[in-house]
Amino acid sequence: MIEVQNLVKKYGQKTAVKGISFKVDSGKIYGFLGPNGAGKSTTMNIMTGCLSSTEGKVLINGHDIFEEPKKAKKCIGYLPEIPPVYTDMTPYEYLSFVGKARGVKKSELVKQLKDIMELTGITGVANRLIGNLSKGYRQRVGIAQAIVGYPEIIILDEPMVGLDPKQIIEIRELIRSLGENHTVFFSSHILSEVNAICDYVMIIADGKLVASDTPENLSRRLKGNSIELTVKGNEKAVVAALNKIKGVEAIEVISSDNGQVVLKIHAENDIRSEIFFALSEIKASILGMTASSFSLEDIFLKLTDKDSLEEDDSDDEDDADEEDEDDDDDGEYTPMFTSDIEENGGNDEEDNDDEEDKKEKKGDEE
Amino acid sequence: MLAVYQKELKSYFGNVFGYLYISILLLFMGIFVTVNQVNSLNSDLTETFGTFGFVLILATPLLTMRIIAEERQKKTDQLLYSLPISVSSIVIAKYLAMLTVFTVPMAVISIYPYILSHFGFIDAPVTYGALLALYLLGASLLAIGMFVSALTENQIVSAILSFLVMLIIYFSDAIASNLPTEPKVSFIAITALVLILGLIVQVMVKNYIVSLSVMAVFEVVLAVLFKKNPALFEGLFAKIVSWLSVSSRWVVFRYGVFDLTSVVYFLSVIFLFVFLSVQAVEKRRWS
Repeated sequence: MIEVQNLVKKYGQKTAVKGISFKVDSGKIYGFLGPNGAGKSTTMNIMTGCLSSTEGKVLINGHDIFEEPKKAKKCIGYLPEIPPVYTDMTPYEYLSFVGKARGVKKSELVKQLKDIMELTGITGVANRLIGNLSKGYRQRVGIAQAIVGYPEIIILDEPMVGLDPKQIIEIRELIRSLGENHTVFFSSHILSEVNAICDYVMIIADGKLVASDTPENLSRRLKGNSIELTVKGNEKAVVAALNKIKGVEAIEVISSDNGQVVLKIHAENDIRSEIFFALSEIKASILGMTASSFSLEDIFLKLTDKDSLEEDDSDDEDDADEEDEDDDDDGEYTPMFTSDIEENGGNDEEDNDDEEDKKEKKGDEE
Repeated sequence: MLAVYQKELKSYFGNVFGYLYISILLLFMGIFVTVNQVNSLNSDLTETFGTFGFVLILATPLLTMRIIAEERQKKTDQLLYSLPISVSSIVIAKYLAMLTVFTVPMAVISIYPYILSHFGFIDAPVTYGALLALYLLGASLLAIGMFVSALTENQIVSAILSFLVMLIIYFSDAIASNLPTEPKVSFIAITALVLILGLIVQVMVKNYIVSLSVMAVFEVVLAVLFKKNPALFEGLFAKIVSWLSVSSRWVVFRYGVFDLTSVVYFLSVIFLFVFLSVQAVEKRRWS
């Protein structure tokens, strides 16, 4: 179990991490999301003792990483952003060095290394120099290193970076299988990865934790709040009828021609059946109705959007902290945004497309 | 700790540096012995050891330049930080690995007096005393080189810097004997030293208040002392410079004196620079 308490890291004038607190429970896979420069690597470096914190504490299974580093570090395997491999060693030599340093017994080491190399798919290159290996293999050696000694907690900083889609799928499977016996905490900015394998997602932006919940909860909370509607009928009559429905917050007419109206409705809850009955009363037929579901991407973009962050900043700082604590206590997600998700979609659409492209490519590979 | 030690040893003998270092030392020792002993029919090895000290200074950066700088350059230091080993045992293990590599040529050289004793008179205590001093000198240079390596993440910079430091150490005796001894000159030179100290503090802690106050305190103390007793400064700077000289410490061994203070001096230098290296590595986590 990892407990991070009010972590602050300042680099000179710049504050990279602004008071992050969270708990990581045993036996789950945690995804740590955030745009570049949000403080992911800094946080992970502090968690593993590679970096000191300006303020705050990190407890690994109850041991403070700075006060009892040996006990705390015994429980951790860490893959930093750049795989820390010695290029003049072979993977086998390298892994046995890490094993010895972690205090694995000689008798166990040979078998353990065989298993781990099998698991990470580097058995074939075990006796080649790491310096001659490709980026993908080096990454795997890096991951293998984090597993050696089977530490309880495995922390991986962007394990998928630099891998081809096929390798990404393999590593994804690997992380999933590791999650069965270990606590895995990994960072990524590829959302589909996180969505696919994590039990729990933490989103960090500009040095602050902005959300932490299961991926399903994160998107379910938002689902149904926005409805896209295509109706055959008179625009004014339709809008008037819709306005009568309880819970409607805003109605936006997107287009209206040839007696066909396209609308977007923001509501407090799922009001699809109310819409159906309200429109049937005025004899306006519904041609299409979709509840916009929010993928992790939308949530990510919304939460990490600069403008919304600044809004939050102008609010009371304490509020944000309290919300974080709430997350820890009951696992309930308190959205820091409720409506107008789609409004800033214009800029973000490109990013979305990119993500979708990636997904498609992966799909092809599969 | 043992794991790091083994890893370092392996890496010295896994690439060219370990072999290069050993062969350079043995090659030059061989040449010197051939010229000084075999060809000139002289059995006094201590003179040869003296010349050999200079080769030691030239070769040391070969071992020390990569020892910590490379870890930083390749970001492998992050692995070491995340392992359940303390920074001090990592640094000590690295130092011991270098010392082991250095011991190989020294062990070979230690056979020379025995071989030569078959052909002439060898004063064994004096010769082995000088050899021990040579070993201590080499060990001190390794510690100093390791500290320089801990200051930078570029191996080339580390090599050039440690080379410079080694040269200054080697020639500090000659420099010291040529320095003017007037109190004023000493005062100015020490003031300059204090400025350099302040700069180093500034680089290490990146805090103007701390570095300026350190400088101010030293300057005030100096000024007061200078006002009260200028005679104190007579030749003081030259003394400081020659005190820094590692090389002058072992010259006495060549004359057959087993100087215990020098042994303590070398051991202190080793301890101090290993300690400073640990601090420099620790400091990186706090930047």
